[in-house]
Amino acid sequence: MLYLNNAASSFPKPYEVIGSVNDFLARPPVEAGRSSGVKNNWLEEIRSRLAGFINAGESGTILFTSGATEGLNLVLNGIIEPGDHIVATMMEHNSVLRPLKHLEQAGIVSLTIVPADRAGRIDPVQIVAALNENTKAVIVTHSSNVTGTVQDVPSIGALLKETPVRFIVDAAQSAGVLPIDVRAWYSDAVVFTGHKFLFGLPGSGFIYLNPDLEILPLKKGGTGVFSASLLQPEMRPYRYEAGTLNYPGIVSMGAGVAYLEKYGVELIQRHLCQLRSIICNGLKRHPMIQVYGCQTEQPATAIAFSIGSLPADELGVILHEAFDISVRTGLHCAPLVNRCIDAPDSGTVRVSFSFLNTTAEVEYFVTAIDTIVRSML
Amino acid sequence: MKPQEIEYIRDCFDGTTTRRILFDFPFKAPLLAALHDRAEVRRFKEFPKPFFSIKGSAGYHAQGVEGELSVTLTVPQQGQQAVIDAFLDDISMAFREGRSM
Repeated sequence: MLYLNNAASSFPKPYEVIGSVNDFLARPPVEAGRSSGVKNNWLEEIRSRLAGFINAGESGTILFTSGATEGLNLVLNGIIEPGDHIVATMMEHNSVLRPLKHLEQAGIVSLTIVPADRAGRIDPVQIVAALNENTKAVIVTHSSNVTGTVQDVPSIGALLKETPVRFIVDAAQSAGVLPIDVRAWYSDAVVFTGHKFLFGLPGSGFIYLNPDLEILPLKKGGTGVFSASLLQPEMRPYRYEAGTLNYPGIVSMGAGVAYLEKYGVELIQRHLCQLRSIICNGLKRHPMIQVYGCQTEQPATAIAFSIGSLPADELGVILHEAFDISVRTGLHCAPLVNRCIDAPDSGTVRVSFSFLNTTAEVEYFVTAIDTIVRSML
Repeated sequence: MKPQEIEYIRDCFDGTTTRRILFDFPFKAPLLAALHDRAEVRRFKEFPKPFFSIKGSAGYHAQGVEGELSVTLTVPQQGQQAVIDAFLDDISMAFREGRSM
């Protein structure tokens, strides 16, 4: 099967990642603080590696989670107080929208959802225009999981740094694809998942939490340190990392980032841009194909499209059954995006590739689309 | 030709309109030919696997690959069971006719 659903979860994983997990599982799962005589603090080494990867400065700003959804719930529930106003965008995933909508429904927050243009772009000026005296935070996805559209996060951060408003970025789709510089963005929290373009296992993730920002923890429990205290330790990372961490997931994430660093962001972006160009140019050859928000100059890995009036799910079945190609169809858990980009009610077909895909693979996808379009004429 | 298993396929919406139906006999050319009288049948022999699409007047849309036992069936939100029954009836009758062709 040709797997082109990497925006959901990446496949294949680099051999280095698979090897790291195998090695980890073949050894006792010792961690400093939770096992006696541990000298090699591998967990902190990975934390430092991740901090370096996103230019976070100190490693204490990195907190492990089970993925972007937990990270977003931690940040949003931890930062919001009754009466707060939050600004989000129509490009957000349900992992942002649903926690916020529940808080809104409970009367805890008021929300402003900033629209995007038809290419899926958010105007930073509109973000600022949405602020009011009660605005606690702005949350923006870096790269759309539907269209791949990359938001101007540095400009939004620069505008917000003059205000008391906290800036939260969802980097689930961009980490491993675009350069991440949490300090240059003036961000307060940035949320990551391990299993997409960092090539880690599902169930792994982390957040960057600005040292100046303290939020309430989502979970409380054992930490391996300060065990005499019946209250959650105040010190990072223990305040936010109750319970046994997902060690294999963290190891896989560390190996995934090491793999990405070996190639470097420039080479990765060049390859991804090439794959994106092949797909976008191939799709745009056909007048009956509508590509949504496609910006070929960006290395983002998701492309949404539709073919004439063919419902997205039916095209998905054709690709899967007849061509052995796996994509995703529908709303992609980001229901408001469909409205911005003016896509059909049945949603779109999303093709998403990774650094490990080859040009031959995406050319096969384009050929498959050519064949399907010809058969429909 | 009878259904052996009918399974809901979860999708991005409420997951109620798509089924995977496994039959006891594969979808072969005589069956598809016999279905032409009852439904709009399209065969895509140019695809790597011989794909077909069956659209019935009852409102169903079945998609699958010739020679395989299962199809993906999409039905409207309203009156689903009647539409599924109509599809199964069409298949059953076409199968009988196909065998005598």
